[in-house]
Amino acid sequence: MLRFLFFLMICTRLPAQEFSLAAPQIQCEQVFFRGATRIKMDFALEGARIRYTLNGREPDEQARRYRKPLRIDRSAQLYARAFHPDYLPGETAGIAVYRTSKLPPEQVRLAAPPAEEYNTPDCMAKLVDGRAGTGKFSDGAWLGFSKNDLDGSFQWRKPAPLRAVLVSFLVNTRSWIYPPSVVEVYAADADGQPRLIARDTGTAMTENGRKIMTLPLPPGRYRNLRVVVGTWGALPDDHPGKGNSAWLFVDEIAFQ
Amino acid sequence: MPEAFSRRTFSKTMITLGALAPLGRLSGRQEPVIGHGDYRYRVDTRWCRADPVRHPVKDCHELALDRRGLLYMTTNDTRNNILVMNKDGVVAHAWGTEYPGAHGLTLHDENGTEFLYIADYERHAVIKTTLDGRVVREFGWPADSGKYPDATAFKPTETAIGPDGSVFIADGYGRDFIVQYDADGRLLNIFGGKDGTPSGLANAHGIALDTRDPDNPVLLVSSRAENTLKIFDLAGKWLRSVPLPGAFICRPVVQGKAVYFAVLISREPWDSGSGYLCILDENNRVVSVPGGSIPHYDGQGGLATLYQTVKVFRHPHDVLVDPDGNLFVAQWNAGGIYPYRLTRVP
Repeated sequence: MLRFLFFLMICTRLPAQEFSLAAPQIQCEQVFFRGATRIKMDFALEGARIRYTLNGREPDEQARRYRKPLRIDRSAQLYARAFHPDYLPGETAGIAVYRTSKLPPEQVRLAAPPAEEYNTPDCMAKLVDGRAGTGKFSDGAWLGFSKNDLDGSFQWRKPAPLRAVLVSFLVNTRSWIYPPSVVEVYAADADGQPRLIARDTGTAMTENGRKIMTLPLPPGRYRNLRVVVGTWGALPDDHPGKGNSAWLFVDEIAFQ
Repeated sequence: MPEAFSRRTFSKTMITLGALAPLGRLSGRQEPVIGHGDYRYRVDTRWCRADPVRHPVKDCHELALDRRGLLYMTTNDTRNNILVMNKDGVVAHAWGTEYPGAHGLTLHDENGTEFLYIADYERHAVIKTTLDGRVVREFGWPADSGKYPDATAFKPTETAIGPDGSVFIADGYGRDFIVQYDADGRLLNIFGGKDGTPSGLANAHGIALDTRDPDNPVLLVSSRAENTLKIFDLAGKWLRSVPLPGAFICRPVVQGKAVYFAVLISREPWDSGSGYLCILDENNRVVSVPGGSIPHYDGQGGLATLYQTVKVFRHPHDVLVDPDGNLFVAQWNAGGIYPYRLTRVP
């Protein structure tokens, strides 16, 4: 009898095979937004709960539970994770959203066009439409540059109070897509001469994914800004495509 | 008379329970069942008893079942390209050292004799063999078609045998054509190819003969990069497409009234570990997604994008359905994992 009870206890307490959950799906109307944006999440597994944070912390089972689309009216970093009693906690998904200036540039020009297949009539409008591309460079949201740098001029009818420029770009080194070698922002001084007011390099941002580079500007009001996003140049010597040029893919240039 | 409860028995019991106590932290967690509707399964990741030293694998590509119930699997490990397993997951025997790109595996009964068709993208050919590996015939590149400059552009991934014995080969890693030979290797037809049209293909990874409507047999072709199942008649005319958003489908497997797919990934990159399975009913509607999201169609018949939910699989590459409806899943780029068995839950 004792042996039977013991056997029964062990059988009911042996662990099931352990599987963990994947990350929740996150969709955002506009990553770069002026007033507010909406974030919708999904994880279609019966019995699962999505929990999220907006404070940059990893969600745990005490974090806020997602029940309906979120209205976000300020820049934020959202992290979300799925939980289910039968599975180990899931991978964390995240998205950063950026509130931008209420005054978008009225005019956008490119000194040189993107590569032919990306040189569509609406390519300049795409740079300031607030919509972010996916990880797929062919999804229609990205402008691809190979030979030319992205050299964009942005103009406002009235001076706009700005404090930063955001450049959103893609990195996928296997697909020859590298970060910008350098990003420079020029403003016209009182004599109309271009003056370098911000600069940063992307050489350290070689991890694959969509990246944002934020360049703080000197406080002030601006009517004309020139943003130059430099291509990486030749692919590295240890790259299978060595001897060829790297590609630059940008989906948005935003202003705060 | 009740069993005597000695101090010695008590001590032994307590010591054993104490040693097993850490397992108790998981008590209460149920054995998971994955899938939806009538197609739900319990997963056994330890079904295959292969010894990695004696029967090593790299990628496990495809599976086939003979009439004796033996399961054949292609791997691109040239120490043993074909593993043959019994229903208990024990490797009965292994053969094949000349198939560096062993990928597609189709078993076909020809007048009572079963043959294997091995699609090898590195040998640029489909090799027909007996079940124990004797080569019967080789189907090479379609030189007379005018579509290929040389053999190296032909990288076949799958084979389907037509009702008349025709051999349809999917060039999934080459130029995405479907090449049709007669049983003796004479070129009959070539269609598909990568042209961006509805009848074109992108990563024509798999092909299967579909006789669910016996009066109208068709060919099912996985256009994997487009996340789409494309349906052609036997003359190569495109009939319709079945969009499967979020599903990078490997070959179609027709069993009964359903079509089964291993879905390699749900999103790029190719090593994202985001795979699952997908099962379509007789109307080619998704009814179950084991390891993935609940299938949902909107009012216009549009399928919501599928995605992985439970990380049971990394990169499932083929699914085999046995006569009892159980599944066996082979995986690509998964650290040399052997096939899983999924037992159907009534």
